Amino acid sequence: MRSHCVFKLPFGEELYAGVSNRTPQQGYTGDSTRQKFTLKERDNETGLDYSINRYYSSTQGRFTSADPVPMTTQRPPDPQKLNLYAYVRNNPLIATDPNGLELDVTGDEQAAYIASLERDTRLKLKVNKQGVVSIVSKPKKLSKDAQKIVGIIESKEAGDRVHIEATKDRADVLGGQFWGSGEQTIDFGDLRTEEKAGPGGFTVDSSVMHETIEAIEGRHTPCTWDPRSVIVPFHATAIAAENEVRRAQGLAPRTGLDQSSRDLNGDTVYRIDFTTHTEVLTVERNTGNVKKAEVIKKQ
Amino acid sequence: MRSIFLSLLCLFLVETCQKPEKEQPLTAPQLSQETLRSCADKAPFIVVAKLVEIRPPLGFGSGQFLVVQWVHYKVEEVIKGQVEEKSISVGYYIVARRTNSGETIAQLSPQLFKTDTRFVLFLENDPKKGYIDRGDPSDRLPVSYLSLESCSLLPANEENIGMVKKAL
Repeated sequence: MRSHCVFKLPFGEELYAGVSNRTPQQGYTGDSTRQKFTLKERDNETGLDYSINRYYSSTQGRFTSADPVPMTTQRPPDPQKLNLYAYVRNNPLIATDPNGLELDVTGDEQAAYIASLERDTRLKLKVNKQGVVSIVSKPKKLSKDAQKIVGIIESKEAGDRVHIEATKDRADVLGGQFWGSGEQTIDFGDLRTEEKAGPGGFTVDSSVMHETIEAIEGRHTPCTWDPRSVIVPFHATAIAAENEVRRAQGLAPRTGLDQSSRDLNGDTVYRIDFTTHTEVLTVERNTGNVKKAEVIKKQ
Repeated sequence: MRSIFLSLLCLFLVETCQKPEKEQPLTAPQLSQETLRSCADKAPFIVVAKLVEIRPPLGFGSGQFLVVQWVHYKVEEVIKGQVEEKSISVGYYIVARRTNSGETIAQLSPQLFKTDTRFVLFLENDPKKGYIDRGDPSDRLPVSYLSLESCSLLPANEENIGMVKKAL
């Protein structure tokens, strides 16, 4: 993660303090994070960015190997797409290439994510070795949110890309975390604990829909000052999508009127509000994991 | 050819996500007159306040839940609305990788939110629900507000205060 937006040249080469009169006081620093240009992990020895399907060299503005999808119908009419080593059609001011493909899911819980998404959308999906999701079959009628997901999977627009990290347990994530630029982390450990609270509370499938829609809504978000303008509308849209799944599951909707407090152990207690129930999550102070979840029916 | 192309493009700085806000990446963006007028118009409360304490972060960014972190301020001057308490807490939404968030965990940047710094704050009433925080009673003082963040973190110098008053 970054404390601020790190300045880079268009193809991802970083600008450090000491380069062209840039000073730390102006905010130019190196940083110790391994995630560099478009949040790809940079190999310290080679300086190359790991882009899931291949390595990218920011100093050259080129991938170091050819595109694994060598010829598509879009390539012949577009000369910029003929170079299989080129980065985003040589137009990095407009586009980024988060993983080189449209929707991908990585992590230990990849299969769980796909299974949930299939139940949510009634799509039949498949995932290749790189985590790229494609559609095997679609139902005749798709919900509004399923259409959004299909739109991303089938999108040919530069930058229309979503990356889901599906993890078992991540201490700095509670349930799901929005990173912007189409990236979202889902902590399935938390989601399962939340679901165990019982009927009326969270379900894994509805939470997966929430996180997926939030990622899609935020895929073009700039690195702005204003977090409220970024997250509040996307979160509202994500709750609406979550509630569509809950409705199909025969469950009462989430209101979004969440609250928190402390218990006697110093653990944080979240009260998540649904129209008929409140789900009470106790999050362990030291680990950040949900240690207890219970659903209380409203009077 | 390639080097000429790169040289031309190097005239433009781009950030990880998008274009930079002027040339000061560690400060909040300057507000245009138009934005300032809009902020002054839509904020129910505007105060000049000194930052007393930045309260600890929850440790998560928003996602499944909206996350808020609290900052304590001492009110020095009320420009708009009725704010009678001198000590107030102001909540900010936390989203990882925004320009106001911190280095290793999702939190307000200590580089921006410095103790004893004076700011012009654009505020709205705290609904006390609709978000999660640490749940620690000492984070949220008896009088609390949420920041209208699109109105930035405006340093309280004479020029800015004058501009805000003029915009009202």
